[in-house]
Amino acid sequence: MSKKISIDPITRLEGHGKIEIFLDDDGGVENAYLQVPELKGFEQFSIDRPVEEMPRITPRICGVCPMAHHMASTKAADAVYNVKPTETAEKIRRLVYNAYILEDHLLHFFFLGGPDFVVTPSAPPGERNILGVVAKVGKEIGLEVIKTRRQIREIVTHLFGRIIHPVGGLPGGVSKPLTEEKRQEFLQKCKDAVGFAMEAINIFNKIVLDNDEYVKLVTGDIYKHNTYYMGLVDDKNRVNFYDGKVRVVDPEGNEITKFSGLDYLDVVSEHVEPWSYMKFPYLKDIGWKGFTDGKESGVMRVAPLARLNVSDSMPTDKAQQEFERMYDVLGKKPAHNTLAFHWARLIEALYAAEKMVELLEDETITSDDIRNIPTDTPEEGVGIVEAARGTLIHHYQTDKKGIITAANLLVATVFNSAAMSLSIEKAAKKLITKGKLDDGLLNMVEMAFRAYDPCLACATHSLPGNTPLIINIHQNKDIIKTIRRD
Amino acid sequence: MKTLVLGLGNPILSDDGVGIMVAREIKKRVKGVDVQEASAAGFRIVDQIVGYDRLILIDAVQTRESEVGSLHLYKPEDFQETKHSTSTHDIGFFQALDIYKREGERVPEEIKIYGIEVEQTDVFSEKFTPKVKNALPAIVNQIIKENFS
Repeated sequence: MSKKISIDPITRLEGHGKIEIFLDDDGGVENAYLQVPELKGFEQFSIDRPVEEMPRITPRICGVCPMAHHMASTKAADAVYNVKPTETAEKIRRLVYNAYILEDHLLHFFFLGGPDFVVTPSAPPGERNILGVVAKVGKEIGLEVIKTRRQIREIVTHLFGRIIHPVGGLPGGVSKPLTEEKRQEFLQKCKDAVGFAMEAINIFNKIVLDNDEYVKLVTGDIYKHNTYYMGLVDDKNRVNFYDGKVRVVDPEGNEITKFSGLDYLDVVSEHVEPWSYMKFPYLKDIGWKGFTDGKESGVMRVAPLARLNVSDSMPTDKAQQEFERMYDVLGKKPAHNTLAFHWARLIEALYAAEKMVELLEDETITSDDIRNIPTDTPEEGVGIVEAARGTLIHHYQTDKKGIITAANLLVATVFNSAAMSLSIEKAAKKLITKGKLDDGLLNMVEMAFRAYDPCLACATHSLPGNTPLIINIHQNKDIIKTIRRD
Repeated sequence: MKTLVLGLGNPILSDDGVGIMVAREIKKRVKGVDVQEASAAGFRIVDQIVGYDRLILIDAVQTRESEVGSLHLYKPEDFQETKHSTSTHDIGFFQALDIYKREGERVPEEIKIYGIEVEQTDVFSEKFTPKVKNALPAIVNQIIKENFS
C-alpha cells in the first residue's frame, strides 16, 4: 500500500479554513465561527509596479477566479488612465467575462456544491462526492459538463490568451479582435451552452424542487438570514457581472444606496476580530452590531442570490422566467434562504449563456476598433466587477508615471465573511444538540458555508485558492473532535 | 508519444514558482516538447493535459524530510487522495483525472511527478531562496537527462 504524501497543491500551502464549534456542558452549541489563515502582503508587493502590469499579476492571487481579478484590474487601470474602452472592446470583454461566469458556475453546481443537493446531504461520505453526482445524473451529463466547459473555455483562451492567466485586457481595450469565422463558431457553441444551462436547471428542478424534503431544507429556518444584499446592476436595475453601479438593498428589498468607483469608501467599512485575519465588511451607515442579522445590523451578503435580490429583473428571456419561478417558490423578494444561492447560481449561468449568444449575434463585435490608447496622466482608479462569488473591487493609486503607490483589494468572500460565520453558527445551533455529532449533521453545517462558494485563499490573498476544511469541536477547553476534509 | 511538461506553482510566491521556472528552462533547451504552466489545480488544469500520452508534472513540495533543493520523483499511486470534496472550490488533480478517464477522455497514461523541495512559499516575492536558486541548474539537467536524452 502506498503511503500518503501531502504534497498535493491543495494541501501544500497553509490554506485551511477552520470551522470552530464550541459546545456547552449539555452538548449544545454555544458558539461557532469560521476562521481563516492569511498570507499577507499582496498590496505591498504591488507597490512600485506599472499599473498596466496589474492585470497580469493579480490573476496569480487566486487559482480559482483569475479572470475576475484580471477584469477588475483592467477596469481599475482604465480608471487610473481615465480612458474608456472602445465599444467593440467592451463587447469582447463582456463576452469573455460571461464565459468565465458560465464555466465557473457549472463547475460549482455539478462538481463542488452539487454533492449536497444531487446526492443528498445525509448520504454516506463515500457517495457524497463528484462520483456520486455522476452516478445520479448519468455519465452523459458528466460528459456534457466537461464538453460545455471546454467549449466555453476555448472562447476565453482564443480572445484572452490563457484561461488560467488571462492577458487580453489592456487599459482602454483588449489585445485581440474577434474574426467573423470565430464569431460564427463561438455563436453555435454558446447556443449549445444555453441548452445545457437549461438542462442544468431542469436537473435542479427535478431533483430538488420535486422533493419535499429538499424544498423544506431550502426554505426552512436553518439556512436563513435577513440581511442586506449588494451587487452590480445595469441602468435598468438588472443583473450585470461586468459593469454598472453597485446597488444595496435592505432586508425588505428597499434600495438604500447605489454607488460606483471611489464611493465604495463611503459605503463600506471593515470590522476586525482578534480570532480571524479575515476582515468583516459592513455597511457604514447601518453600523456594525456584531454577528447578527436584521435591519439594524450592517451585515451584507454578495454572490448569486444577492445579485438577484438587488435586481428588478434579468436581462434575458429564459433567465427571467427562471428568476420569476425561483421567487414564486421562495415566496418573497429578497429571498433570505442561503441554500438558494445554488439555485440563483444556475439562473445566472443561464443568463451568462444567453448574454454570450446576444453579444455574438451582433456582427459589429468583429470590428478592429479594439483599443483607445490612453493619453491622460494616470492618478487613481477603481475597478468593480461581479466575480462568480460576488462583488470584487480593485483600487489603485499611482504616481504621474503610472507606478503603483497604493493598492487595495476587496474580494467577494470578504464581503460575505460575517454572513458566513452567522450561517455556520445558526446551522450548528439548530442541528447539533446533546453533543450528537454524526457526519451527516456536520455536513449540513458545512452546507451553510459551501452555498456561498467561498474562496478563503483569495480572501486572504493566497494561492492556490483551494481550501481544505477543518472542523474543530471544543468542549470544556478541549478539542473533542476534529474532522478534516482533505 | 505526445509529451507535455507542466510546471505548477505561483511565480509570485517565492519558491512556490520553482516548478514553473524549471518548465520554462526545459522549453528553452528541449526542442519539440510542449511546455505549459499553471497556478491552479484539479479541474482547472485537467483540460490542459487532455490529448497527451505522457505527462511530466513539476511542482514545489515541502516534505520537510529532505534538503531544500532536492528533487523527488513520484508516481500517481503515491497520492492516495480522498474521493470526498476536498475543498469548496475544486477537487484534487488525480481525482479530476479519474473523472475524465471514466468519461472516456484521452488523458496521459504515463505520468511522472517531480517535486522540488522548497523553503518559502508564503511570502509574495519573485525571488527564490538561495538554496533553491543554486539547485536549479542541476535539477533542470537531471529532468532533461531522465526524460529527453
